[in-house]
Amino acid sequence: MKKSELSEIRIPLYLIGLLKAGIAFRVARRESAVFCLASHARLQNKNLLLVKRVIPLPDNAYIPSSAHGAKWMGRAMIPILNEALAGDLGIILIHAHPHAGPVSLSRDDYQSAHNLLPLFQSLVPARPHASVVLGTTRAAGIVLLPDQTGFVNTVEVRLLGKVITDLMSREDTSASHDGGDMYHRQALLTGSAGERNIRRAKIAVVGLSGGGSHVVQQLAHIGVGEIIGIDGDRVDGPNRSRLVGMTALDVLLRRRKTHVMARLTRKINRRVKFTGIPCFVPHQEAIDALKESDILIGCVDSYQARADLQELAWRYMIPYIDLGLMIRPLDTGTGVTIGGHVMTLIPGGFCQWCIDFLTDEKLSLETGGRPRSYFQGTDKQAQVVSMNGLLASQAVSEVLQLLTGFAPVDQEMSFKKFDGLEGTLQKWGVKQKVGCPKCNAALGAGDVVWRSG
Amino acid sequence: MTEENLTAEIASLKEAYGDVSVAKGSGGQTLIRIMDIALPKGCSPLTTWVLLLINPGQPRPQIHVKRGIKLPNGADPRSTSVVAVEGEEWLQFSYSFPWEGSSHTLVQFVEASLGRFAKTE
Repeated sequence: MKKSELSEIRIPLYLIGLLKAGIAFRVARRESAVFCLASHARLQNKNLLLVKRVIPLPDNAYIPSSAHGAKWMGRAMIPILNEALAGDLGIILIHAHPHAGPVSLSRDDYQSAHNLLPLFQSLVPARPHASVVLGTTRAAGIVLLPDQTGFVNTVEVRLLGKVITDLMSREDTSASHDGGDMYHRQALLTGSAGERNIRRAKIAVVGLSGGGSHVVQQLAHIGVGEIIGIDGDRVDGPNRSRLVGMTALDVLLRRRKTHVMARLTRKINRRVKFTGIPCFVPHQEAIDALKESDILIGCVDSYQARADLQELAWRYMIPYIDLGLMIRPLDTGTGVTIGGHVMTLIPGGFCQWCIDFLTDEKLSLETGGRPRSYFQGTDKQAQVVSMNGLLASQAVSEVLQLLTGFAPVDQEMSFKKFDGLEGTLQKWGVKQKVGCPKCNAALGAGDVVWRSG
Repeated sequence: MTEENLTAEIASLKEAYGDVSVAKGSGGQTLIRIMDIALPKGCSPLTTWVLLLINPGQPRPQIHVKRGIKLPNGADPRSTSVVAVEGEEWLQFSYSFPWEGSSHTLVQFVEASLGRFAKTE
């Protein structure tokens, strides 16, 4: 592993406030520190450190000093070390240098990290440990990875708020393309910083039929950095009524949906990378691809597939936008109801289990107690391209909001209900369920750490 | 299963199969991964990885194998599904046989479960 390798620390929605309060300068303009406990996951070219707990040091733990930096009593760390040990979690020490622009660890910070991180590693060797300083626009720090003795010094911090905020250690030059004047009018809404975020974003789209193909088309138009399209199916005749970009020849040749979407993306914008994963979640190739994404969009039909996506999104702390359309005949025998939704699930906010959108009963009813392969691929529900398109458009607007924050952020969680007969999308109040066992178990679980038996 | 019993069972699995790893699941369950266990004669590939899930409060473990097993007659096993367990892909299958945690061992459980792949359906 190269020492220049990137480590990204992800802070879930509900811990951001606690973190910011914990590192705010309090007594006599003295620095304050918080300890975070984190799991981790290994991606292709970076390590994710997934924060599960934020533990501020109490004021009485600090040693009075005329110096600017924080010093604290060693015994104040004992309960934190015990908790890390019990939960098999890494320890991240965070403090603030609250100004805009580049920040760096001071000589004292380095000295302290060089002493503490190997100690943390000796206690919990399977997890990374870090010392990080946060500015208002940048972050810096060092990370000690498992089985390593040298430090990694490229650290980013991602705050998973209602708008994703990345605090980077270096100026952002990672955008895959600048787009020239192609996005001039879009940028009037999203701003130049927002456009940079769009250009470097990797968006996974799971399900490439009625909803997903619209989503891919629009993501290509707005110019995201990369679209990861995941679908194990090949096209068939009935798909032509709603799969954007599909041709009669595609049906004849039984092409994969990923193939059709790659072509669609290429035709719209050659600078947008499309990575097709021709398999279903939860196949390992699909899981590995999803882990790499910044935002995940689920365009799937079943509750079981949603449960898988929900679990993976929470496990790796990836914002997840789910859309669904449901057209059903009324019990009276005449007429239909046309319902649907677009929900934006931010790790640390409400999940689909919190709001009873997913329940064990629904999953069991869907499979009839049989293994999943019995119903996977059934395609009996009505689908209409115009309504798929409406929901997909809203989903892409949610992506824009997460990446650019073009709209004011309100306190309500984002769940929008669709009424296809009225032609409305209505905001629907939902809340995180305190003690939701699914949230608590999955959030930031990261990779499994195997030990010799 | 008590912690003490589980430790003894893991030691037996290690003795029987060699390469055994253990992890803690996010829901408090214990995960036991066994590498390269022999499948019944005629199956392809010859070996598979096995995952045992020991859930607190559930006496019977859940067993998973790796996807891609062909039965001795060359067919794919029926009544299986690909599932994600703690972010990793595994193949779930059901096979009914009598097993009592208080009377039988995990080694016996694994051997009986893998017997499912000797059947040509």
